[in-house]
Amino acid sequence: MTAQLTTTEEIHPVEPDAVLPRKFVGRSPGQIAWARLKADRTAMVCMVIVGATILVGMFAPVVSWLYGVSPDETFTSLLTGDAVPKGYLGGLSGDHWLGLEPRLGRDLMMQVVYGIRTSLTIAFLAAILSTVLGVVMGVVAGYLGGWVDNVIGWIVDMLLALPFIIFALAAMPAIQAAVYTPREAPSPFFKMVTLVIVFTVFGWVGTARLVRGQVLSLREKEYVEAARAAGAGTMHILFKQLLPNLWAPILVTFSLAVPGFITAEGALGFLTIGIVEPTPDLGRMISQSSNWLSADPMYFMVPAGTLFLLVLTFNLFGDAVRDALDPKTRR
Amino acid sequence: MTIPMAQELVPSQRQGQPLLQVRGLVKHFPIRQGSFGAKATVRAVDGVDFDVAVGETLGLVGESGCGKTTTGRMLVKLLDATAGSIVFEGRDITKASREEMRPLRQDLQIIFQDPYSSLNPRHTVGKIVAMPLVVNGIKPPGGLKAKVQDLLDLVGLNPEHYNRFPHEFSGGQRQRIGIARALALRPKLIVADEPVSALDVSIQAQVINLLRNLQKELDLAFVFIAHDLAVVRHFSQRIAVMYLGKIVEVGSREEIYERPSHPYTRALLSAVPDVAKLGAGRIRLTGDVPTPLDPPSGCRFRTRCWKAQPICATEEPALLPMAGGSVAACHFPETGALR
Amino acid sequence: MLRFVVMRLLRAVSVLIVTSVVTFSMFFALPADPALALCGKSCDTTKYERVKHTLGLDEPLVNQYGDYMKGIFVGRDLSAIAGGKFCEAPCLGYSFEQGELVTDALKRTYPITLSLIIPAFILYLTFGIGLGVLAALKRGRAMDKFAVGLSLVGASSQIFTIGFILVFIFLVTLRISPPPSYTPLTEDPLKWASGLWMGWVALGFVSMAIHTRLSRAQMLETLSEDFVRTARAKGLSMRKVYGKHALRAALTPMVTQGGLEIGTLLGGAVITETTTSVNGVGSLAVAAARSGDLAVVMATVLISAVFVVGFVIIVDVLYAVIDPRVKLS
Repeated sequence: MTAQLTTTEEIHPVEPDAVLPRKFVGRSPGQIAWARLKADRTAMVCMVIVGATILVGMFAPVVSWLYGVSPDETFTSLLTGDAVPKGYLGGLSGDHWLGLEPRLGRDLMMQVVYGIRTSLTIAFLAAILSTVLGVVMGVVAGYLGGWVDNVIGWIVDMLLALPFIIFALAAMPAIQAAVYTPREAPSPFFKMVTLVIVFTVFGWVGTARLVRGQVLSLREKEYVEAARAAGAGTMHILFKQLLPNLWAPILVTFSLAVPGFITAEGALGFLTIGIVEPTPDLGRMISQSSNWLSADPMYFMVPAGTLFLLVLTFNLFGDAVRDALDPKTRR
Repeated sequence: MTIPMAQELVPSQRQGQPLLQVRGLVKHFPIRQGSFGAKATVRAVDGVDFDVAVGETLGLVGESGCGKTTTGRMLVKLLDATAGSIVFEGRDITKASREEMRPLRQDLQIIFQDPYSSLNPRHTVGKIVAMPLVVNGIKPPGGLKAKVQDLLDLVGLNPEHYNRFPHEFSGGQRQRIGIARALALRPKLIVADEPVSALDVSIQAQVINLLRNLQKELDLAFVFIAHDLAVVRHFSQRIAVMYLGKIVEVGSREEIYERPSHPYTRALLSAVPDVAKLGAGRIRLTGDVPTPLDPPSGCRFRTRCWKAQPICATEEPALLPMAGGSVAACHFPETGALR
Repeated sequence: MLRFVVMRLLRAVSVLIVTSVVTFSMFFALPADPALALCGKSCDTTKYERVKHTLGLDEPLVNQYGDYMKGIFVGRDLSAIAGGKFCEAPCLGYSFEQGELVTDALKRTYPITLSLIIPAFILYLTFGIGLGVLAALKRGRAMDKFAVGLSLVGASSQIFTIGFILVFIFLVTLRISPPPSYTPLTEDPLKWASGLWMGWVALGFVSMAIHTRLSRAQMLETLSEDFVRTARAKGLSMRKVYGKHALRAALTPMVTQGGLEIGTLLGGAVITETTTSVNGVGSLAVAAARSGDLAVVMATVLISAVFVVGFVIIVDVLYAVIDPRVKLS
């Protein structure tokens, strides 16, 4: 039957990896996964794009310096009386590669570059923190079991029951009010930290459930029993025996959590409860573009396209990582 | 390599007390049965007694689910006994904590059934074999690597394979790695939990021979767990047959294989394929093994025994010396040699 | 079974209680003063104090919470602020932002949101599962690649992006669609559909992706299982094998996944409503969260929590009934 045939065909390319090298040096499962990833052309392309995007985000000031325009600079002289950019395609020109923002006349390219910086900073911080929290919770719940597992399961139930967006809407001003007085304007850095906290609090649940399941099955493995029979303590079992086997699922959830948080950050930006002016933010730009949809569609397309491509490449890369680490769940 | 012979160090033990003494060992697993949550207990092991002498192999045989694996796990303290005692070299280890067990761990090791799940796929062979030493903070004289390579050599693996990963080995080789790991602490007793049943028949013999050589060389005692009598035959001095959490017959190899007294032992033996006895006298057991949740009253084997009488349901037979020389628990033991 | 259900219910109730406590207490960190907002322009100290007293804002937090929760079960006297109206049994408080009882505000807005969510839900569940199953059956061929590609695009899109693209194409450029709006279904079904279709598509397309992926994977797994191969080997027709055996086995986990999405859908509704400027519960909640209108936020959070928790229990129990291997612990 066809499904059967394709399965064997797909497993076949893995075989040459298993062929023993001449030298007596074994290839770890990690090295094999890496070799598999390198052989995947889509993955490599995505990796280059993802890498380049991260660099652009990290070195946004350098990009701005090379490009010769800062994100705050306004070019009102290039706008018409209706505050729409002069010329075609939203004021596209040699000086402004992606045109200008209507009303304020800021350079769209720089807004997008800094928007990527905002987006990636929050997404990566949230992904790292929520993965760490999720792994800790999952390992603790899975390995210790009993009432600890019940308490963590209960917290998971609660977080799943809370509607994230409404809760985030309510939580953001509450957290702000706890730190600032109503008249103070919060710093952009504080807004970012708040977002990361909110994302982390809600984001660890998936990782925790996954890791818990993994730990539950791994702890029954005989090599764990062998370690216990040899007199190993809990720490040895958790960190030396279990953790090395958890890297694959952790990496996969992490790489798919990043695009998830990019989308979530975009959504909160869109609802204008995320990052505030003057820090550029893709979601907020899209939200503002709704008033200019007919007058200047480029103002919508540039940030929306960027956000879409950003999430798409991260998703593709995440899928490739999963395929490489777990050949059973091939596409 | 030179390994001091255990009996030279402790000569008195061979004649005196046994290395391992198990009395009334019980393991009950509480479970919640059915949807209404009635509590029930699985009587996995229900009062087991046996001894193992220095350098001796005791075969522990029975169908799956009879409690032999649970017994093995209790011996190496992977499971805590519900009741009964395990005395190792004169010390009761039944209630010993992890810290108290530390020195004894080195004497009591285990080999697992599944050569695939018993080796951590993310560790090199070197790391796997060295694990017991590292965990116990033992620094061998010649260095860890040299010690591991000695061990690999001892179990018939290429010491140069130190840096390889388990997935690069065959099932038999993996089982050898598991044996090397068990030997790392130079134990006096190894619980071998069906060490060959996951392997090809041709490989089984190799691994059994390896274990036998190691036993002679290192004066190891084994508790060899198996689900059929064929594998145990060439390796065990004494054999205990288990059924539903209890030992039904214990005896020397000759007694068990030639003059078994318990009907169950006879049934098990007749299940061993033998060209010479093809067809004739084959005992077919009918029915399934009863659930250990609610074992039959009296003799536990009565529900499948062709000799069962009313007394078997009311009175539990005690383990008594039989005519064949073995000790068996049966009201109506078989007599005479096996055809 | 009974014990299991009771345990699950107890757990669910405790989750709901803590959810309400967390939401309730969060609002006291907010700078908003509902009493001042309600008091209106002609506010003086006596009126302010009276309003504050009616709202119970001068009482300790615990009492305020207690009053609110009591109101849900036995009703509450809010006549001083709610225009002489007694707040009937499921009393969810008074919205100072909307100037009406929360129950009234919800009655007004829930039909709108449900009109948005339910068709979108049906749409993406059918298309998502259908596409996934089709992709699995045509594995490796153009149809499969299309389905996988589409689900990737869907998973990478945002509701607001899709919504704006639809608005831009069909409203701004082609001018063949009326602007998004809400007309009750009972009034004019055609107007109802034409005003909401953009929302359905935007919400449906993004939510569809996961179902395409899930059903494709599930179907592939089922197709490679022994009983399907046996059925094929027995000589059953392709149609019978796929339609009867494989699909049925694969469908259960897919549908349960769909059932668990109530919470996510409400979040999706918030964004969809904002994108298409159709003002349902989502918009109500957003406005309330912005202005610190505690009663409305409490109500929306609690209602969606009740839905999610309830669905989880139903799914758990169904699973246990369908699949006896599932341990009820």
